[in-house]
Formats: sequence, structure tokens, C-alpha cells
Amino acid sequence: MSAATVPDATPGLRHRDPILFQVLNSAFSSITDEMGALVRRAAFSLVVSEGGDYSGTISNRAGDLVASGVTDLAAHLGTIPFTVKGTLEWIGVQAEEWFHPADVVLINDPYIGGTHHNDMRTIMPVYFGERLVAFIQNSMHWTDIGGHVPGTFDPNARSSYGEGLAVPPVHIVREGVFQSEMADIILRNIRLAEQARGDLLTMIGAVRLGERRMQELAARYGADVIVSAMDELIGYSEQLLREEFRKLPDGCWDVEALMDRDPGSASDEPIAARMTLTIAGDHATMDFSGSDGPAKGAMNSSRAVTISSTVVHLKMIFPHIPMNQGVFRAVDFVLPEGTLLSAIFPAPVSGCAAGVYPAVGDLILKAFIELVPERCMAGPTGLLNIVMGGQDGRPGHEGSEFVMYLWLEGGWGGRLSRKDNSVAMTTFATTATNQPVELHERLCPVRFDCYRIEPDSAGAGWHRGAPGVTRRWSFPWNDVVLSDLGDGEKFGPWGWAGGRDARPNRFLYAPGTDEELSVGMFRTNLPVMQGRMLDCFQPGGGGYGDPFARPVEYVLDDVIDGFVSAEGAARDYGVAINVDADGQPRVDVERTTQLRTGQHRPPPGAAG
Amino acid sequence: MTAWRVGIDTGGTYTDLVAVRGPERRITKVPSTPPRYEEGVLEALRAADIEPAGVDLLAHGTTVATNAIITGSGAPTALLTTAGFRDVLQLGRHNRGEPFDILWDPPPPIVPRRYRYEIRERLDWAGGVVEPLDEESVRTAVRTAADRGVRTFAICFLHSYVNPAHEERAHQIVEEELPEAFVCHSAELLREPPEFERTSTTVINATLMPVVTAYLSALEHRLRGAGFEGRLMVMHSGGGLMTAESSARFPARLVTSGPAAGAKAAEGIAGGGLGASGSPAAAVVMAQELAREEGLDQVISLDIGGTSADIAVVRDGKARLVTEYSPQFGQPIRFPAIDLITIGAGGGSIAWVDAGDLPHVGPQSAGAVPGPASYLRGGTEPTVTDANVVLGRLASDVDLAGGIHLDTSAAREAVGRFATRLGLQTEDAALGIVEICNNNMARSIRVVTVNRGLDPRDFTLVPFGGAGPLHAAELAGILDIRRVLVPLAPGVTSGLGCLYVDIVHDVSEARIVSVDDADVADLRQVFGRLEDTMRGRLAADRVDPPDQRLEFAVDLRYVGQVRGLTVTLANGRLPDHVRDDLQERFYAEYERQFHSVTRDIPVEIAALRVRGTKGVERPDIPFRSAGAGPRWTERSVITGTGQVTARVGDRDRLPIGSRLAGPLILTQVDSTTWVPPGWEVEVDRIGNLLLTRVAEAPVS
Repeated sequence: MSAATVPDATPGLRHRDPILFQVLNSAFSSITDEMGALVRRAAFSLVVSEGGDYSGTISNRAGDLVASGVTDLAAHLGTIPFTVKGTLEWIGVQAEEWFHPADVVLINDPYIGGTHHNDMRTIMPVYFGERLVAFIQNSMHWTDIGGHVPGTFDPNARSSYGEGLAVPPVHIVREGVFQSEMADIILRNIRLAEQARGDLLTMIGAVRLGERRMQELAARYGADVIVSAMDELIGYSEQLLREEFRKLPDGCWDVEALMDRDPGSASDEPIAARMTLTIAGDHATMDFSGSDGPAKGAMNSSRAVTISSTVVHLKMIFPHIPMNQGVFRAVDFVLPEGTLLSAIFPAPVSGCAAGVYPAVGDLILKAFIELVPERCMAGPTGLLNIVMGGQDGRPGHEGSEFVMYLWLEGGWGGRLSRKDNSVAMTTFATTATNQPVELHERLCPVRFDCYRIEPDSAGAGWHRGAPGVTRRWSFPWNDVVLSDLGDGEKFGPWGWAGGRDARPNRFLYAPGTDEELSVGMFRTNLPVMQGRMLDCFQPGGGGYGDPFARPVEYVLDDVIDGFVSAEGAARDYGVAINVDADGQPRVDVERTTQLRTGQHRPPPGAAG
Repeated sequence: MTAWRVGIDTGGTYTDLVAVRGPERRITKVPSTPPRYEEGVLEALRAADIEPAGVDLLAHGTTVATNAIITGSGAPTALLTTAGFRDVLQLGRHNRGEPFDILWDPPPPIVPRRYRYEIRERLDWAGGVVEPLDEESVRTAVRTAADRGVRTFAICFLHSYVNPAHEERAHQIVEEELPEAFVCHSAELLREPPEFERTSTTVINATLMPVVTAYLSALEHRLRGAGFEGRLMVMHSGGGLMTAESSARFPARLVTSGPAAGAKAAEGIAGGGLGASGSPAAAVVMAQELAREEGLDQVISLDIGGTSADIAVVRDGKARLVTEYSPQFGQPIRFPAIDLITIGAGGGSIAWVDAGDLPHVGPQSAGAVPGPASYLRGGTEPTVTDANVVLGRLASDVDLAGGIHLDTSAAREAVGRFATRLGLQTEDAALGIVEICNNNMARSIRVVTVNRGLDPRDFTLVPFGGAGPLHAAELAGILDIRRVLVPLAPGVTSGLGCLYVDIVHDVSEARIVSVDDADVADLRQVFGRLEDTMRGRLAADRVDPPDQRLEFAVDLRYVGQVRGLTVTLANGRLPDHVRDDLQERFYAEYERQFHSVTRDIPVEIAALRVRGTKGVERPDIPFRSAGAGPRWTERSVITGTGQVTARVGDRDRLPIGSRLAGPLILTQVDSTTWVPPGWEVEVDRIGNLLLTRVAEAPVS
């Protein structure tokens, strides 16, 4: 179809030409997917090329999110509108005066919509002729963005200044010309500058690709049609989500999620995120104002990250709704300043990913599991950021500096409509992938001693949660320093409806030796000596429903496969299993009946 | 006298044959004969009246590998891994089929945890031995698994792609302990990281080895017994041919790249055999040929068989290739393959009514046995074929391939029961069945076009399969596609495609060196080694040196980059000024692919590659008989806008250049073309039918 045959762009493209509307809807997604494919192929850092810690999006002229790629990092998505709109506010002039054709702008400022400082973003305007019609955005996690700690995550930073280099919106490409002095300032302040130089190149290429594809679409269908398709797509998502809210009963639900502690406080008391969900017709209000005040340490999040967690978890419950600004619009957020969910500069926010984002996710899941239990799950594992760095001591690598950024998967929670659940990336990164052992070992002086599912780590339940995962690392060639930032050492992922909580986090130095030490969740630059081992267990998911009612054959299967030990089967599920002389586990029916009906049965809610 | 070259494709429902000898050609179509598919192959030769002794080349596409994976009927397999890493297969990479959907589940691992054994051994990233192979732990694992009845073993150790010594020794030990075992280790399949993709490929390959070996030896045995002395070659999903020996060793290459996008559909297909074709890639190869011949830029290839339909997109004369494909989500196979999707919609798809009184069609299929009700082979469920009979689009007075005769009253009876359930007239119910089926296919065509930002309206639809040309025009209407090209022998396309493909092999060697330090002599030496290996492989496939075509390429990237890009060497030789030449080509290609380039980061060589092919002579197949014009009859056909009288004629008798207006039914032995009212058809210079929509589609 040529541009000439396209109908006039009056509102209502969706109804006038539903096929064209769908074509454009998919074309937007296809552009973002193509950007994602480019980033994966061209990236320098492992967490992007293999781990998938990136995103590429399209926003309209106002900065509203229109489309994102299918492999885009979940947690980025909800923050993009804040970055683009925040930038438009920051510049203080008409966008057209500041964003010129072929410009690329760089930004990572957590207080202008970003997440943590490591997530660097490029933004490029899309002009069609004289008309600014859209913005293309690309984010990539940079392995290091400066500061005190290799890998930058410093749980003991007390303000934004200690959390790495902050870059407000600046031109990195001006009308097609790379601004090398600007790049030099940034690269002079960070570790792995050469890797970052390559990743910067990739991010510029990605937004250029998006810009070119959008211009091709506009040339083909006309800018008016493109603009109205973007706006209608947003309206479409809003309408779909409101339809879902309308189906729910009206009412109010209060939920709470606890984080271990404030790393900046002497107190060991937990800190809380709280939400009141109010459903009234097709309106949903999420009021977070009852949450605790700002943390002194890193366990704060910007408003952008809090809202991002909300919309991502809504999308997980209602996955058929296209992710765009419409999802935000369907919810009325009450998120006043003065809580740990709406941090104000310069409060430290690097724990937003590992602590606050999962806590907000728990609030959404805990509220909706009461309303649509068949679409939800019990508590999933949270995120633990681990960074290690030092001098590479391997032969042939002498003198080179390395930084290794790890992110880990764990278990998701039990589900009413499924038998059990499987290991997955965290809800921060549902779209991401793990980083292979073989590549880590090639790029960094580390040896993995295991990467395995840990028995008895799943939250027991009729619907079992997924098990957790244990990794062990040792360092045969050199010392390293380790920093980590996480949560969930006190509280394992929560069980529901009689299901048990999953076992909490564990992170040990030199396990089983005299030097054994718990690394904990808030360590800054812990020296790890050459030859020592680290043991890191990332939790499984909470159970759903009474584990003592789980069908015996499911429990037997879990024992045969080693997900549950024979002792665990008796203790957590009331199923007695003996191992025969031929090595085959078999159910002791009589004793199982005793366990399941007798006084041995633990009261509901007891920890597994 | 020259010998026959025969292409035979065994799908879940039909086995298609195309044979060429000089100017002669034969085509035939017989029912497939699961689970003993080899019988169908022999039957096809008999039906075509071709003596196996007179066949020089038998190019074969088969569904056995795909079927085994989708139905989980591969051999029970044990996996030996490095100690500490037995869960790599299960943990995978965590890609999710539906990234956000809480209810999404990955398919269970092909080797359950109970059959995954940890072996004491360890290599480092450079292939150095950290811990030697504990041979006793291999023996113990083999015995334990053997006690549980396992006879098939996959071996994947960390870093074996650099140093395969431990895997090779473990492989030997398995064979020592259990001489009858099927064994494969990862390094013989794939010399690249990372561990999960390599493990998955190895496990799928292993579990298929007994299945494919049994099938191909049964087939070969039957063929040899019948006097066949020629070469048996097998079609793989990359669109090339392999010897039977290579196929038994690398059976993962035979798995169709189709169902990846349609995991849910594949579940439904599982019961009824799989695939419109045994090798859907062969049909796509034909679509490429047609697109080239007809000068079409953008083609949607749609192959509708008895149980399923395969859909692929050909742009600029080429189907998209993928480097990795998955028969089911999360089960990657790392071999190059043609990109296509398979859905559970075909002539045998069963129409049914759910608990809420809503009608559905498929994905369950009646297959070839018992088949549609109108086949009178024991099937009683109403199928899409039965609906077409009721509507008058398939005639009872025509003998179909395989000697099948359609029975109208059986079709009416089956569709009638479905109609009663819905409170409809039989004819309206039949229209509904066809419409639902068409809409299912339209949705999937949107997946391969619209979801990739392509507008289906810009494409020409090329229908294949017995049922393709029957549905194509109305399906095109739904998608607002205005042109449909019905090829000469649409019902046996995959069989024909098998005769058009090349023998293709790929070999590579990692060699990481900065472009600045590259030594031309050293690189030429590596290429020399690769060339020797390649010529050996081609010779093993009986390709004579003059027919061996080699292509040389270099993987380049910036220092510090994880992946990069491949540059093909124009004249097959490394230039003397390696540095400047490769660097400039890298910059140009980098800018083109990644839209941004710098000279501030040094460039390095990552690997050298050689691809070896044998070009087959393209069969110039004289499918046209003298078109004296058909003897027209008339028949009443039911359409969405009412009953019309259609002319019915023999397609093969249409003269070149004829232009006719629908409604028309054009019959041929392997297919039937339905030209609805509002469409015109032209017989083009080659004999293909070009259908064009002349009136606006009725609003449906």
C-alpha cells in the first residue's frame, strides 16, 4: 500500500482500519525488537550481550511510552516515560529547540527517571521533515559507572554522590557528530572504560536504527497516521486494563512487604513498603503513603522505579495487555514524597533494584492474589546484585583490570492453577537471561564450582514453589574484592493459603572452614583471598496451599529427582519415603497416613 | 538410459513423490504409514511405477525426528555432565515463551534430573585440565543408568568446545561399558560456547539417534532389498541434503525448525503425526525457486497438509535463516535452519464444539488414519476436508491421490452432527468450519508478517499441499492479499523441493588474534586445514572435486566485544594486506549492520569459516502437458454469499495464457484450486496459476 492510498488521519484508525492499526502496532514492536537484536549482537559487556540487561523503546512526542521490545528488561520499561518526560522538563525549552535531527542524548540520572546509576540511556528524536514525532530510547547496564566499588554498587553509600557518576541529559552526538570530549569526561571516571566505549557505540547505533525505521514507517504511511496510531495504542492498553479492573469486586485491600533492614541505620529492624489498593468500578487506586520514611542507606527507590515495579507486576498478572503508557494511566497512584518509595535527591537509591522493586512487586502480588488467585503466585525470589573486581592474575592477562557483575535467578512462587513452578530470572528481569558459566570463566578470573538446584529449598505447598539455586565461586589466580546489595536474608519468599515460606538467602565466605563468614546483603569491598570459595544461595519461591495435601505421587517424583530429600518429604509434606536396597525411593503408605493425619502434622503457617 | 532422481517427502499424513528422468516426470501421493514410514516410501515408488533399481538419487524428507521430539517419544536418555552442573539443562537460559505471564511454564527437560549424572572432571576456560576425568565415575553412571534401562547417552562437559579430550574419553568408556549404546558428545556437534545451548543440542541429538537410526536402516534395508543401488540423501532443516550416515549421527538437524513459534499448536498436533511435510524446509526451498523464477520480491509460502500448515516468508528471493531453532520453546538446537512456523490447521483438522457451545477447528487432526469421514476409512469426526466436500469444493467424482474416493453422504453426516449441536443447517456449519480454519491460518500468517512489521498486503500468497490451493483465495481475502500464485504441482512440493537443494556443510575454527598482529601465512594454514576437512566431508557425500564449491569467511569483532560479524572473502582467498583489507570491510559492514562505527577500538579476528556445497543441477521439469483446454462441467458450490454455479475443469489442460473468471474449480491429481467469485485466474508462461482479486472481498 502506498502513502497515497492511506486514509486521512482522523482519530479512530483502530476502528477505521483495524488491519493497519495492527500492522503499525506490530511494526512498533518489531522496531524495538530489532533494536534489541542489534544490542545483543554488538554489546561488549556480558550482562548485556548474554544477560539481556537492556531495553529499547519508542515514546511519542510527549514522552509517553508507546512500545518496547519483547526482550527488554522488565524493570526499565516503567521508568522510560520518566526519563523522556523528565528530560523534556529538564531542558526547559521546547523539545524542538534542544533536540535537533541526528542528535543523541545521554543520561543515567536516577532522579530524572533512571533506575540505578549503572543504567545508561541514549535518547534520539525522530523527525519526519520538520516535525518531531517520537523519541527512541535505549538503555544498557554499564558494568561500572565509577565510585568507590568495582562495579559501583555500594550499599554503604549514604547519598547519591557515592553511587557513581551521574549524567544529566547531555548531547553525546550533536547533529550527527560524536562529542568525544563529553565521552572522555565520562570514560575518565569509570572502570572498564574501553568496554564502556564499545557499549556507548552500540547504544548510539541502536537509537539510530530505531530512528531510521520510524522514518521509514512515516514515509510509507504518513506522519499523521503514525502519530495517531501511537496515541491510540496507549488508549487501547488503558481500556483493556480498566476492563480487567471492572471485573474485580469493589473494595479496599491493605498489604505490607518487609525488607530486612536499612543498611544506613544502626537498627536491625525491618523496613516496610505498604499499599492500600482500592478498586471502584474500572478505577484502581494504589496508595503507598503508609510506607516507611526514607532509608538512610541504599534501600530507597525513585518514584519511577516504584511505579515501574507496579506496572510490570500488573503486566505479569494481565499479560495480554500491551505494555505502554496506557497501563500507567489506568492506575491512580498516590505516592507522596517522604517515603522510601519516592526518594528525593540526594538520597541513595542503588538498592532500588535489589530491595525496593521486589518489595513493591510483593505488594501487587499480595493484593491481587486475593482478587484473582488463579492468575497470581506466592512470593518469588528477589534480586541480589553482586559485583567483584580486581586485577586479573591469569597467565596472559597480567595487569588487566576486571569487573564481574552477576545477577542470579531463583524460584518463583506456587500457583493455584499449576502443580508447581520453575526457576526463573527475578521479576525485575523476567525478560532477561542468565550469563553462562563458560563465558564468565573466559572473561573473568573466576571458577564456578557449582551451579545447581538446591534440594528442599522450595516453599512447600500443595502447589510447590520453585526451588532455589546455589552457585559457588573460587578464585584460583588472584584476590578479588566483593560488594553486594540485596534483601531477603531474614524473610524468605512468602507462602500463601497454607503454603510455606521458602528458605531465605544465604551468602557465605569460605564455607566449612575456620574462616567461614556470612557475607550478608550489604557488603562493601570485602577482600576475597586467592583460593577461597564463595557460596551463594538464591531462594526459591513460596508454596501455595497445604503441603500436607499435595498428592503423594508428586512428592515421590520430587524425591526421585532430588528436588526434595526423603527427610524433607516427611517434614514438609508428611510423606514417608524409604529408599529400597535397589536404590529406588518408595512411599511408606502407612507411615504417610500417620504423618498426614496425626499429631506430627505442623500447624498451618509454620516455617518449612 | 539415464536413471531416475526421486524426491520423496514423508509428512504426518501423506508421502509425496516427484521423480525426474531426462524429460520424463512422475508425481504421486500416497498415505503415510506411521509408525513404519518406510512402507509409505516403498509404496510411493510402486504407485509411481518406478523400479528402485533404476533410481540414482533418492532425496528424502522425513518427519520421524520432529515427531519424536514433539511427542516426547525420543529414546530415554542419560546425560553426563561436569560435577556441579547437572542442572544446566533444566535451568537453561530462562528465556520465557511469554516473558511476563505468571502462568507460563517451560517444557519439561528432555532428560529428567534423575537421569542426569555428575562426572568428576574439570577443564578451565582455555581447555587446561583442572581435574582429570574420573573414569570410574563414568563407569558407575553408565551402569546405574543401564540398570534403569537407559541405552542412550549424551555427554556435555564444561569448556569441551576448546578441548574435547574428556568428552571423547567418556564417550569411549560408555561404548566399552555398553557396546550397544547410542552415544554422542557435544564437541562432535558444536564447537562453541555456551554450555546450555551445547547441552540442549547434544541431548536432542542423542535422544533421536536410536529413532532415526532405526528408521533409516529399516528404509535402507527395504530399498536395497527392492534393488535400490543409488544414493539415499536426507533433507535437513537448513535446506540442504545429508547422507543417511550423517543423518543417523546428526539427527537433530532433521528436526523441523517449524513448531518453535507454535508450541501450543504443536501440543495439539502431537497426537496425529506432524507436519504438512516431513521436511517443511523443502517446500520453502521451492517457494524460493518460484519467487526467483516469477520475479516476486515478497512471498508467503503456505503449505497446508492433512494435520498442519507450515508458513514461511521469502523476501528478495530468500527465506530467513536462523542460527538456532527450537522444536519446543526452551529446547534450542544450534544448527543453521530455515525460519518457519507450523500450526495445527489442515485438511484433517477436526471440527468440535466446546462446553460453552463454541465451535472450534483443530488442532486435533484425523490424520490419514482414520482420516476425514468422507474417506470411509473409519473416521467419523467432521473435518475441514468433509466441510469442503459438503460445500461442493471437493468433488466425489474425482479420484484423489492414493486412490482415495470422497464420499459425500459420509461427509454430510459428520458435518450434520456438528451442525445439529450448534443448531445450524449442515451447509452453514460447513461454511463455518472452513471460515474458522482460514482465520486460524490468517492469524499465523500475521505472526510471520505483521508481527515482524511486514504488511501482508504487499505479499503474494503461494499455497502448497493438497489443501493449500483450495483455501488460498479466501484466506487471501481475509488478509487483504490480492495475488495468489498456485504452482504447477502444489500437492507434492516438498518432494519436489528435495530435488532442488544443495549439499551443504559448514566448518569453522576459533582463532582469536588482533588484525594488527594477524599473520597471513598462519591464517592461510588454518584455512588450508578447514578446506581439507571440508573436502573430506564433501567427498564422503560423494561430491567429486570439480563439483565442490567452497566459500571462505572470517568472523571479526572489536577487541572486547562478545559477538561480532562475519565477512565473506570475495575470491575465496585472504588478501595479502590482511590488516587493511579486513579492517575496512569490517568498518563498512559494521556501520551497515549496527548503525554506528568507530576507529578508536582495535579490531580482532575471532574465527575462520568454510562452507562447502554441491550445487545440484536444477531439474527443468516439464510439468506441462499440451493444453488443449479442459472439458468443462458444472457444479453447485456454496459460498459465504450464497450458492453459485462453478465451472469444473482439469487444470493440466488449461492453455498457457488463458484468462478465466471465478467461480471455478480446477482439479489436478495432487490438489484442487478454488477460484471464488470476484477472482480471476491466469495461466502464466510457466504454467503457474496467478489468481487476482478483481472485486472487493465481501464483508465477513
